[in-house]
Amino acid sequence: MVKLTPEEQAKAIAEAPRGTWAILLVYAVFMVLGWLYMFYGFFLPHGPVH
Amino acid sequence: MTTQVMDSKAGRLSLANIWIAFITFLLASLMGVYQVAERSGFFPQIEVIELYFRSVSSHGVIMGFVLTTFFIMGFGYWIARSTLHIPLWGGDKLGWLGFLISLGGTAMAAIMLFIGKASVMYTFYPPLMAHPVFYIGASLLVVGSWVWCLQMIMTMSSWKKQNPGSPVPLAMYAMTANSILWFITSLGVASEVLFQLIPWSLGWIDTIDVGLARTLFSWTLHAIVYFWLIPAYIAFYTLVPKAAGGALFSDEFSRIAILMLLVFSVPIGMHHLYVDPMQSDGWKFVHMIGTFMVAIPTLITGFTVIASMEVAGRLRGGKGLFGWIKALNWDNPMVLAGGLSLLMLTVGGWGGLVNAAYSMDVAVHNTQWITGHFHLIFAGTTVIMYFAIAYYMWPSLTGRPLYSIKMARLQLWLWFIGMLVLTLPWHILGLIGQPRRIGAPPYSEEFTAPWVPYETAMLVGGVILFISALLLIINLFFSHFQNKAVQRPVMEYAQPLHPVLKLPGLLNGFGFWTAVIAVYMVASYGYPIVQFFLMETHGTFPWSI
Repeated sequence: MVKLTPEEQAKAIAEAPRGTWAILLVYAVFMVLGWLYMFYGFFLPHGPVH
Repeated sequence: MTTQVMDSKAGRLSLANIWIAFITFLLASLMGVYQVAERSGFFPQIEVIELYFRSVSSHGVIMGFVLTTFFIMGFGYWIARSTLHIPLWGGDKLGWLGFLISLGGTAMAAIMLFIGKASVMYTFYPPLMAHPVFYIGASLLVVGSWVWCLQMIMTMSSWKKQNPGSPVPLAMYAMTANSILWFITSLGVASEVLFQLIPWSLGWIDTIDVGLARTLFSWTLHAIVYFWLIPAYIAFYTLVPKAAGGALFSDEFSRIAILMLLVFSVPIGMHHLYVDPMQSDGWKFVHMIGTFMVAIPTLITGFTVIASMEVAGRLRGGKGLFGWIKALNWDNPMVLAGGLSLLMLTVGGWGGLVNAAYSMDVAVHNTQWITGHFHLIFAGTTVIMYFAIAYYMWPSLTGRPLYSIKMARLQLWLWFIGMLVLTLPWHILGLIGQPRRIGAPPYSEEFTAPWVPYETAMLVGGVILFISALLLIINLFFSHFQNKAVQRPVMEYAQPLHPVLKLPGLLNGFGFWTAVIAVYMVASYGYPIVQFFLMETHGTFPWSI
């Protein structure tokens, strides 16, 4: 664990959560792709469970 | 929020509740191992179908009702004490009364389950009928938990009167929301059991309206998931950031997410009835829209929690877009569990989008996909946080240090790995058409041959999970009953990044939101229930009395 100066701490707190937005963006892309795959790749050709 | 050192008696009520939760959990985990072994079809000598469904019913009831209810009551009592620093409304004696009522009810239901008189599974849908003692026992479990609900609500109310204008600590605010949620959602199953199942099982009536029963159960069946989940969210908001050495990104955002969960989660249960004929497509569509609305508070939670962890990681020296992830103290059980839980929520949430969609549900309905989904969300995302909460609370509850942090980390990793090894194959089995609610496959070998690799993985996953469950109990037991006492530490919660000195009334109380839920409930469940009293039921009694 790196010891931060008070200035660095204040900067870390004030900084926008860019990493969080990036993670959520990646997550959203995977969710949409996954959903599209399930709908067009699985559900439409497959139909109801049998 | 963290200034009071508890006396030795303060934690007894919480400890009693949590021990009941975890002892029954260990038993149900053992049953889980038997079930995956039986279900795999690899061990013909243990294939006793009656015993299998007795075990499945016991496993489901214990995990879904007993583990959760007792754990949440124990956690709730400890949050009330450690955040508000006032006596519980009604005193500890009232809490013990509720505990004993719930425990007595659990014992009654358990006896019936274990002797095979209540093999009706966790949903106890009619026309499956259990012994009346099972239904009465299950009702008492719920009634005991209502005492807890009352104490949570009234204790928060008393604190607000003593501290006018002050924001209720977030953990207590969310736990009170959970008690309101539980009270409202349990009314559905309580009505079904009281007015339909008990009279029917006692022989007072000959017939039962199955459509009404399933509709009432659906009232409870989905929101109960949020009753289970909110304690995990409380840990995400208030314990994970603290353990990570950071702060909560936004107190207000967290309250909004909790309130949205409270309002949106109850009137959406009919997505469990998508292929049932007793409700029309229009109502199912309305409930589907409501179901997708729950994604909003879930995303808010995801954002708030990850942002809180990002702040903590940056305060620990993490740089760049993702460098803060590496900088986090993953050796802390709470931080580790938070990360693993979010990963499981990601996969489970994606699965939920599939089975919540009215169209796509027909491709997975009543298949093993559903079992995989709810195990990943409940047993994975939620229960792993219960473990972390227990590890976090244990020193302040017992006055003794955790026996082994290394064992705690191993236990959490095993739970995560075991859950993925168990549930991902279940998703695939569902997609290739394996039904849920079956024992050893009663089909031809040719038909079940593609299932074998996934059944093997399921078996391995079940064994890993049981080992993990055993490690949990060993660690908590040796922690609690060791001689090495320490000065009882305070229970610490994360403070918001920007201190909250004043909140709008809507984010600090529940009166308005309870009214909103009532209106939403009438709109979404009013006619679907009333119709059973209006339609021709061909000789059955609509309300069964």
